[in-house]
Amino acid sequence: MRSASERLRGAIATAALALACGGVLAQTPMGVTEAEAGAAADAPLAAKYRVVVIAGSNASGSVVRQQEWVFWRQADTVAVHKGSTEEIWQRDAQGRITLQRVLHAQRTVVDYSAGELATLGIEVNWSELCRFGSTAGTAGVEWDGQLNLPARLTQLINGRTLVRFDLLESRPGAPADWDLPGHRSAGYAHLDAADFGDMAYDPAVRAAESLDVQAGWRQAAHRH
Amino acid sequence: MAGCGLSVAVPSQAAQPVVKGLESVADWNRAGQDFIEAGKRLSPHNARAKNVILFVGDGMGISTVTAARILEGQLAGRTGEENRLSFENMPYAALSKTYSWDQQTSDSAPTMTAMATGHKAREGMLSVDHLTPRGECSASVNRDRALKTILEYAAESGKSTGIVTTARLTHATPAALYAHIAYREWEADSNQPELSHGVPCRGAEGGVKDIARQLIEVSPVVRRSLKVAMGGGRMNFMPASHDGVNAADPEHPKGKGRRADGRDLIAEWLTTRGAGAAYVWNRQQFDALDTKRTTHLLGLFEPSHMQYEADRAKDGAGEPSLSEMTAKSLQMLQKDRKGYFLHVEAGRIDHAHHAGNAKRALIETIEFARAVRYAMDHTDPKDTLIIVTADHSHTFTIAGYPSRGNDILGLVREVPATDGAPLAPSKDANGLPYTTLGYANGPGHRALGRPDLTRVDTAGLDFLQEAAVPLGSETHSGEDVAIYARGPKAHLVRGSMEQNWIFHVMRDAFGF
Repeated sequence: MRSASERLRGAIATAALALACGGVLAQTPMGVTEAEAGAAADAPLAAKYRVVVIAGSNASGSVVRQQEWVFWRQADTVAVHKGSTEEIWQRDAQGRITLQRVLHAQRTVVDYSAGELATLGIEVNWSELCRFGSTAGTAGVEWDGQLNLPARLTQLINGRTLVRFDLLESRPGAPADWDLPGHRSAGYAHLDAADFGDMAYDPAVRAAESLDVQAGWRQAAHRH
Repeated sequence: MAGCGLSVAVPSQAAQPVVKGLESVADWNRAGQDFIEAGKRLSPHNARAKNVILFVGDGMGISTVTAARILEGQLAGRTGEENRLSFENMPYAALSKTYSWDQQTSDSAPTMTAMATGHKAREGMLSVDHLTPRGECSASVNRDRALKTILEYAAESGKSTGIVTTARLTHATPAALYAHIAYREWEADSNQPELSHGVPCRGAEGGVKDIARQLIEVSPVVRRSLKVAMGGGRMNFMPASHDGVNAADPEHPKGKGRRADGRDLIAEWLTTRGAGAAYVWNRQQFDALDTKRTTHLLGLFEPSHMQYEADRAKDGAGEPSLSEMTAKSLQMLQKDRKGYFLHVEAGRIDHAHHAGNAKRALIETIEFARAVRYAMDHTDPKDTLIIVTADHSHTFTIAGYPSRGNDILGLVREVPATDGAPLAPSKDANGLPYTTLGYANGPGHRALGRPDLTRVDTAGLDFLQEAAVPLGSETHSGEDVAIYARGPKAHLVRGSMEQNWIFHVMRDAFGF
């Protein structure tokens, strides 16, 4: 019988992958139980990914954008720093999950309460968040079982654009010399996503709503 | 006749209607006559009001009232349409025109300003007149342009006052009663800009105080009068840090205060309101509060807005419902022999509508009606004017030809063309069923076209009703809203009213 870590290491999911919450997968990799995945995901960890966006429907297309993202996982927090924006997901003792969107250009943090996420029809799967997200809708995944994260992940968007995530580096804990999510936003203004309806004029609201729509939110009947 | 060998052509085998109301034929006439007799017994009650209670359902348009009335009835096992929300039994009603000085369809700031001060105002501004420049941060300009509110009038007359909301206490509707500021978003100092129109703003000498600070630093007469302030918005009263260390929220330890000035306004409430002042932030403290010994109560039950009523039971620290806060407020305020002014807002009807989520909005409305019922049952119509209204409406619609008793959250099923035929979902031009409830715009738009809802639980709590125009957030709408009233001077609520006339009714009732 293989150990949990061996099975994790060997798990390669090729199911479709949807970057539902901005690079977050939605399905337990094949051969990995929820409990095993959850146990591995509890270890505090930071990981850097190179994100390459390729125009055209195959890898020979031209690179139109390249970014470096920082994924940071703790027992009650999963966060991704994506350059100009961040997503910080938190889970409390009652299991309620909240989100903060950090918008650096607007120096604003948008708070999504558990109730607001539910009201928007968003169901959050914590164990999927801990593994960088959902595997639904992906073009391919190579799985790093020790980290319980994808080593390489490819998504085809609208049948035309490839987005590839390559794991560059990982470190346990919270590396002091990394630009981790949440570290730059202490002095930012805060907005409650419940208030968006009265604030369509606000650039931060427009930016956050745009990100929500990109993630498939604010469109009915989506689940994450 | 039978002896003549004639027969009357009666379809003795006619099928019974599948859909039936509960009423007998005689009931319609009887109910109409009862209404007329009740109307004849009405006479203007011109005595001064000792107390005034202003209930505002934020975003509670008439379609919301109708749908909530039906849902409340259906939840009680009835067909629903014949049901009446508590305030629909009040003797007087009118329509309220909700435009503001510069908006055809308004936000909550000028609409509540209209009700609170008697003046229509500008988008996003709270209880300052319409000559106030947008983004004006000068304290002196905001002060010069300030409009006195009904709460401030009541305080000056020696009455007790109270504010209850399920939104943040610093949110536009409750804030319009105590704050005078050109921009509704300046709820904490951290939300104010460093510069506004080139003039120093946040924390500047001569800069207007943020809304939370204005609540704590109200005039001495309002400070004495304001006995109850309950709602959400804790973070706007808490410092971001104490001595350089993040000041953690008691319920959500990863959350922290929003005050850049380092002030703890909750502590300041306690120190400036005397020995009888109290502060509560969870259900247990709320339940344990002794209203007889408490003189000034501050309740802040969430960092931001309170939970939706539909989600309240899941809150970790627990928090009271709107009707429970209304009850506690009345226990506090009824100690004052001179009377009181109380404002109660159901702030989250609006939020659920913005999210395109009708069920949460309707559950909020039903709880709002419960709070009104408590007030109706625990006040005397001889001395207490109760007004129930909304600040604005939403693009929420009740559409199709659903049959009597059809699930208000369900698919439209018309009365069958033939009696005895089974009910079946009505179909659109493409053969797809559709729901009774929907929105003109909002997140419920289906970008890929109308879905087949045949097997979808449209009555589920998280279901988003369909919307015609894709928008990230559903919007307000500009049609009139209703006003309901009972008590002294309630008869002045009549016909088609400008929204700001509600203030004049309240002031006249008080006799100011």
